Amino acid sequence: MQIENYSILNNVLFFAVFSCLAAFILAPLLIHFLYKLKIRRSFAFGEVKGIGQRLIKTGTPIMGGLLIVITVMIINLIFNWNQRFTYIPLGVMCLAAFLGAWDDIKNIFGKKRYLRSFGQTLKLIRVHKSKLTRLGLVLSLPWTAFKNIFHIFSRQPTRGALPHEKIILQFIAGAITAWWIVFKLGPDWLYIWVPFNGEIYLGYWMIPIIIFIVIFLANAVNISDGLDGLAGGSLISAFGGLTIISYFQGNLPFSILNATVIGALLAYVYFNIKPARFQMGDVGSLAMGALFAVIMLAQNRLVLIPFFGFIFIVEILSVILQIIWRYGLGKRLFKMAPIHHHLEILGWSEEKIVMRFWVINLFMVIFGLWLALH
Amino acid sequence: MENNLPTYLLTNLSAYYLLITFFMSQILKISDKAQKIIDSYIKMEIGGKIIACPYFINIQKTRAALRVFLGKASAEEIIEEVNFTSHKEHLDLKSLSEKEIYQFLSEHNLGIDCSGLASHILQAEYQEKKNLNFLKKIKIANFWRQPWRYLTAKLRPIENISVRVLADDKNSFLIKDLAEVAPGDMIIRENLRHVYLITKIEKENNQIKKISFVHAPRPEQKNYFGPGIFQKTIEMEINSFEELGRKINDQIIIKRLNF
Repeated sequence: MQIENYSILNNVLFFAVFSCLAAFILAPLLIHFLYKLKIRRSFAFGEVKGIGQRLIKTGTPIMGGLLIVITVMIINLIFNWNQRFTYIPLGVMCLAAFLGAWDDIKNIFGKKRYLRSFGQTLKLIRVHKSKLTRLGLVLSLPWTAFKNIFHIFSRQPTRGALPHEKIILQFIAGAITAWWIVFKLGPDWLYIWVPFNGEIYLGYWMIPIIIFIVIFLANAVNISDGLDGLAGGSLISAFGGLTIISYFQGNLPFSILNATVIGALLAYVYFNIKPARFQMGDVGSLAMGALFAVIMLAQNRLVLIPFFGFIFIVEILSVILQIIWRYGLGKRLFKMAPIHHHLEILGWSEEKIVMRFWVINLFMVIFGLWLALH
Repeated sequence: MENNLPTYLLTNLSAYYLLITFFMSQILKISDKAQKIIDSYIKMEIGGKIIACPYFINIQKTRAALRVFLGKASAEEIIEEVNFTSHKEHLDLKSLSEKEIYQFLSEHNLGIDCSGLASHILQAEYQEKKNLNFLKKIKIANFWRQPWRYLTAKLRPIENISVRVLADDKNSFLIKDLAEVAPGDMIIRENLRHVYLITKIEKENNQIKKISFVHAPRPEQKNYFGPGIFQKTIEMEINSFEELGRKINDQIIIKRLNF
């Protein structure tokens, strides 16, 4: 047992260092590539341009998250390809990264996109001269309603992917994860581990729960990626906790996967610390959020998500609460959501927010690890 | 006692005199809390300057927006939004004149409409005088006829209160005798397009001599900024509704909330 644990620890440390070095070598090439293709922050849209030192960030390359995705992908494909444990987490990460990349690229090079509101559609149904078009509009009303429901969370016009498009792809990622965990990993995964209590049987309720968690965490990390180093640093502590758990579970494939993520994140954060050489972009944040969710679920530590992903959950909850307050009561709960912008407006410096959030997340990870022992 | 008789008489006589003059001339005022609300709109401190809150009405009929952009927010919310917007736009409000600040507010759709102003003042007035939540009492929509509006009005009452709602017989009754008018009553334009709120009444021999009111008037010309919220006092001579209407240039009725 000791020899086996030593072997896992040896592998974890080796792949963390290896991945970090590989990412360090890749980073300058990626920065050069992003500058050359003019994949840069423009702040043409959005409210955040005026707060803090946003304007200084104009022109910084985005899609820096590719550094993490590519490093993790290549290393694991070559050294850690495991039919049972790694191919789905990597696949889901790639799917989320594809969605993020599509959104990032469309945000820079795409045209403005408007979504026809439900009211406009109803009006068209009444007044359009072509009966065929009217019939088409009537038949597509549920689809219009679906698009409009998710559009509550975004602004018009947008260049990037529309919210309903994102949700569909994220749902697919969640569904793949649910299928893998429920039907491929075995019956043990129909129970969720609970500290101090043992296990709770959820059965096939796991499917919607998994889909929800994947979508929720992918968006949570995406929302947290608003300040230099914030998402990256918090992810290091989160994946650090996951690595320790996978080490204690004796799961080598997950240990190596987590270690490579930490290594790549270390290199990423080195270049992302203010003033950032590049920003994560949706390509990195959605991919890391989805991967974090999948590994949390695959390691059967769903209950620890609020601890390991504490900052991400606080960030997304601040957005949800702000929306509830805004639409329900007509007021703002925070000066601006997510909460890091609220703190910026209150006068906190970017560095102060980022470092305090790192510390808070690290503390919560340690607390979660303590819980994991019970 | 005898030594103190002149003092005693003097004191009592002056008390009687004061009592008689009090009955002859009477000043009725809106509560201090409500007056504070009025002052918060009339004397808004922004960028170190004092300005009156501009008029803004949600002509576009925007729904579900922040109430500060619907002409229904409190003065504090408007000030906070101004500071926030100027922060986003990197604008130093201290470098602007009163007129420029006023224009800044008008151009960013920050202001209040007449029913929004009346609702905020009435809320304070009824809370202070009757310990009653006016926003919970007011009937805005019928659940069976307009269930969705009923729910939104429960969540966001001020945004759903219009002059029509205030003037609705379910919420207010008509005052037929001008002598009965009191602070907190609403002077409503007959076409239900505007509301003035009575803040102070001076009476002599039970006859109204002066009526003060506050309102949020709509600027009369396009691109004309002003005058914003203001309080005005009118001197009454004949004591009739017609005279009051003539002096404020409107055909009016006066209503008082039922609560």
